[in-house]
Amino acid sequence: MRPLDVIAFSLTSLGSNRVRTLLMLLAMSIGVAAVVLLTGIGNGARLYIVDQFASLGTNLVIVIPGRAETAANTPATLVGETPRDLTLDDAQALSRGEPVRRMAPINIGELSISWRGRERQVPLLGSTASLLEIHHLRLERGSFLPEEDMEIARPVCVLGAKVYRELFGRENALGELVRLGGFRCRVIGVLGSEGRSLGMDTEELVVVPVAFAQMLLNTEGLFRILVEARDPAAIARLKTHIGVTISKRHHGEEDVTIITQDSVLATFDKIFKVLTLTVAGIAAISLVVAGILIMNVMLMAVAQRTGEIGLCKALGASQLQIMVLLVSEALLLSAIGGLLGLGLGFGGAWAAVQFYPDLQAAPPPWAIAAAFSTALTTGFVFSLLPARRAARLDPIQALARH
Amino acid sequence: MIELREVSRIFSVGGQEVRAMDRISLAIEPGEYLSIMGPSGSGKSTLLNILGLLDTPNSGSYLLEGQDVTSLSDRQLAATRSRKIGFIFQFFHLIPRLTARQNIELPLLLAGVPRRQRLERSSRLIEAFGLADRPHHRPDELSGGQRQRVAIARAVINEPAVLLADEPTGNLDRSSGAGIVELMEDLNHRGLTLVVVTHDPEIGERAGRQIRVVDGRIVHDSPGG
Ligand SMILES: Nc1ncnc2c1ncn2[C@@H]1O[C@H](COP(=O)(O)OP(=O)(O)OP(=O)(O)O)[C@@H](O)[C@H]1O
Ligand SMILES: [Mg+2]
Repeated sequence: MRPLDVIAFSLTSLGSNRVRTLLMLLAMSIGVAAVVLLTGIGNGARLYIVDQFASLGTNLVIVIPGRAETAANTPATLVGETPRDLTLDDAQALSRGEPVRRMAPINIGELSISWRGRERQVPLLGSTASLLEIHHLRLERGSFLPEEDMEIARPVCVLGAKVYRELFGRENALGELVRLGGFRCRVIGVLGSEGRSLGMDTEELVVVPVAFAQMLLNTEGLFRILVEARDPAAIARLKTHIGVTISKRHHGEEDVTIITQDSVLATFDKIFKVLTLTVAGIAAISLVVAGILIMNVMLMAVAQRTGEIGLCKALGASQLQIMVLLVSEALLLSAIGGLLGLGLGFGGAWAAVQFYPDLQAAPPPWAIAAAFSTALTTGFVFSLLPARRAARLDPIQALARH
Repeated sequence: MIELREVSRIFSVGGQEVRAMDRISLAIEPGEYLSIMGPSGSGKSTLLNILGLLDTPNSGSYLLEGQDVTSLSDRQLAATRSRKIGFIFQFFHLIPRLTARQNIELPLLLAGVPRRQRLERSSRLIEAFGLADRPHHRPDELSGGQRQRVAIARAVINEPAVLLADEPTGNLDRSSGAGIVELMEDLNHRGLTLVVVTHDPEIGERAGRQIRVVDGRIVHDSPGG
């Protein structure tokens, strides 16, 4: 038989039992659509994270007190010593180096802020003027932290957009005195409302000079130090600079963890790839279910069409030909179902993007190929048994059962 | 052209042996018109199925146009059926979803004949068999006689060496049955070997050679009527 004739013949057979065909198409297309849509969303989430990091600035190096990787093994932890704090002096020392472009020490805590009887619990962030640039923050009005010696605990603050709204409504806040913890401090600026970067909702922040934050939170140490490299090529040098500087200052111990955006990014990237693969795998199970459905329906179809199969044999069809005919029918069904599923999946991904523009749900090419070929493979594998059964029918008995 | 030598076909049903064909020897010459008659269960259909390569003997040999066909592979059997055998059945066995023309072309389709040739050959038969106004009808839109014409057209479209008919008129009224017999005889006049199994003596007695089967044996063979 010629391939085109096989397809045409299969189509007449599929067309003759619409309900059966539609059922199998539905199962197949839902399976494929699930793979496409879920991987699309997984991939979209991955791209979203990557994007978030990129907006943070990929030249950023984060210095955290304590050695994360080897913390469990150092003698210091064994004898119960806590790692040495990072101090403002450390930060000062880190900012002096050839690969350094900018540096911002960070302190965080939680405090209550109040103005004219209105009070609220807010996350407090202590830093310096450089934070604005390093963290890509946008100032709505007023000014950011003053450029001055970071040892100066000037009692001023910059409010997140939401904090400002909740305390002041629409009233002017600039120059007003608010009560922050036990201290009074002057509002000098308000942040823009869209500033939202990973791990921190800047809308809800109150930003103060780092030394003032240490006073408010009653601490000497820093939460971390952000150091921005001159350019991507300088990151490696910057890391050595940080290591050398810290160990010089900490009696030969390099007791900090240095995180680059790259490594965090790579980790997230890996996590999301695995996640995407996992959901793809789960969705693929629905394809196997579709395959089993195809097998059942085909077994039924073979029983229904026994007479026809016997006839084809009497008219000169070999066992192989009968198998080819039935397997082609299943493959055709899978292909059509697969295409429908791709359409459905992309439609779903498109709809997801309409609802959540942030999530660029784009099914990766490998998932499309995998979903489609899984559909074909299931169709093939699960039609083999019914096809074999058909091929082995005794033509005389098959015809007699008419 | 066809030569059976001591062919037996034994079925075992519930441990019991049924000799549907008991050492039958039979030679059929090209162009012969042969009828096979006999009581129900005597082995007529079994004989026809063996002749048509739908069934294989338990013992004995079968020569078709000089070739021993008792030990062919499935693929070879299929190819031989396709080229040399035309079958028609009591219940027509048309595929309901296909049109008359598509049903007629089915053997060519299976044999991989290109579309244009299929169309040519089926058109000739549709014309010759008086189906010219019905090529696009489906079997359920055709009368019994028309259905059997479609079935005969399908059986001969591959220009087989022999046409085997198992009760071809068994499901038809007298007049359409007569039409079918005429059509087959017409094909026989043009050289096609014809073997008809029938219960109807009126039809059986028209054949040039009549065979009577009882209990799997040929009990009567009258060459020349
Ligand atoms: N597949 C089979 N399994 C078991 N026994 C069978 C089978 N096919 C035929 N037989 C038996 O072989 C014998 C001959 O059957 P066959 O169908 O050839 O008879 P027939 O002459 O065609 O009868 P009828 O005129 O009723 O069609 C019968 O006894 C039948 O029961
Ligand atoms: Mg019979």
